[in-house]
Amino acid sequence: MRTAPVTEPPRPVAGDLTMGGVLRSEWTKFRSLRSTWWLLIGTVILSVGLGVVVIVLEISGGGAKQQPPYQVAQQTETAALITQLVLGVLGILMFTGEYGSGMIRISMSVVPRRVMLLWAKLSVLSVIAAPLTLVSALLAFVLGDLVWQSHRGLVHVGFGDPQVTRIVIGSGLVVAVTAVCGFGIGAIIRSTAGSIGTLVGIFFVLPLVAQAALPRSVAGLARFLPSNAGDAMWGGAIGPRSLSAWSGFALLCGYAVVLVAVAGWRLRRGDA
Amino acid sequence: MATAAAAGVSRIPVAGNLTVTGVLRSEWTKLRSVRSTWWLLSTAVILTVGVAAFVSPAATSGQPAPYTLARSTEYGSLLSQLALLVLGVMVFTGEYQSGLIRASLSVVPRRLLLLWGKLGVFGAVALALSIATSVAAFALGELAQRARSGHPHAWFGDPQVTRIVLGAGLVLAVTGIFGLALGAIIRNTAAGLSTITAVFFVLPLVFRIALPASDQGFLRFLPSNAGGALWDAALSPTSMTPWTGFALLCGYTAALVAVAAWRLQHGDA
Repeated sequence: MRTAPVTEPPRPVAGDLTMGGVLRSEWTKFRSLRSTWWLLIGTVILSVGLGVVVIVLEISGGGAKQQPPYQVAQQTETAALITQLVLGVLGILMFTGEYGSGMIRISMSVVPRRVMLLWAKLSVLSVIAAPLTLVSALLAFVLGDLVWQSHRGLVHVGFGDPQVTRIVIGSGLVVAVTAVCGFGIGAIIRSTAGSIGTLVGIFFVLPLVAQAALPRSVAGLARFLPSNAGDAMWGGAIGPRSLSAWSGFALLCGYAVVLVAVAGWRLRRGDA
Repeated sequence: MATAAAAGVSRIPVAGNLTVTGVLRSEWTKLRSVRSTWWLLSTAVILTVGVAAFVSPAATSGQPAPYTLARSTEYGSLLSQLALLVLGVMVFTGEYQSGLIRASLSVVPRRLLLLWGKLGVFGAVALALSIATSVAAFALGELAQRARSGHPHAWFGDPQVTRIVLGAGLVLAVTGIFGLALGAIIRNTAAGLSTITAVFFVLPLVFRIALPASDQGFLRFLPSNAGGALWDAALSPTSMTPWTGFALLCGYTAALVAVAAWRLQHGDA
């Protein structure tokens, strides 16, 4: 009896858990969800579409003559405000989607080293989000600029002009880092609705409330809010005062790092 | 054997047991037994009333007009608006996400009755809470101002103050219902929330920054600005008159509720 031949399938053993494998599985999960593609395509369309529309309206509105190059660049990147929401949601869904569906149990059974799971998800998200936002920002500027140049009498705008390169690249970077902030929030809160509510509250509603309701002395603090800090990079910050471009961006990155660190700590030490 | 089994069954639900009160009661149970409801609502109230204690009217010198002060005490209600939108969207999407909707529709096969039940319970809670919040925010904000400067600024008798304070509350409740209807149409939490927060908070901001002033006229018709008109807080260069703005917001909401009802009634569930 015991001699009966057994054709065993290759057995997974401890030690099979490689970063490459985890990355591959995260990539499969990421790309096989419809919502991923909706959000990514939405980002590109919004960035480029809104950038061109804004320029067309600006020209047809007649107020375009006096604009310095950096303002034109800012206008082509307006969509960054809304793609922050779109990619923030994508970041949030990386973890909350799994908690919502129960998939997280399988993920953690298969990858018991939880922080590894976090890094793999974060890598997949950033490797996709950063190039995507940069390309969208570039496209938005190039197409918007083409429309701009096609009208006679307007000042020439190109990458050589002061601040233009920083604004174009910066707006893309800010959106990508916002996605990482969303990722951290989602991994900490674990509920889709709670995370989106928190993201919107911090990034969009608080700046409005601060600007509208707070006395001038306190409203200055609004420049340290993550959205205003990041948007200082390309000139989209709202409020009486703004940080300088790179310190604002550094602060936004700081927030992202803190959020991801808290998420890692929570995953490691807390219940999953 | 058969009689023994029958004796064990005390109450058999039959067709005709489906009453409006029963549906309302079950919806109330569902709403209050979810922890997130209480988290969201208490956070919203605390933040809104808390912001009111720190506001100062934009008027730089002299005593602000009563209605300016009233408006500035209500700005925190934007945070409550977000909370009520989330809660409203979740009324339906939460059930679709957890699968509870199958049980709900099996028990209440008359789908519109389910919609009205949810709308009734959520609307009543939202209305009571938002009016209470806006009144508390105004009262606390005014008292804080009074304590700082020593003389009374504004109270309910002053021109427009009552409209602004109660209006801010009314707008909150209606936006909550807006969220509920959108959730019933979209049925997915992430999609519903992204859409509605984009419409209420991001688009006004984007258009405001992006468009030349001459093209900003239509911004007053956005739901958020139409509602904002009722308490003089529209974030657009021009504003509708208070009650037409509110009527427009109610119109948008009614249209969404109609679409939601149509989809529930005629589509797959």
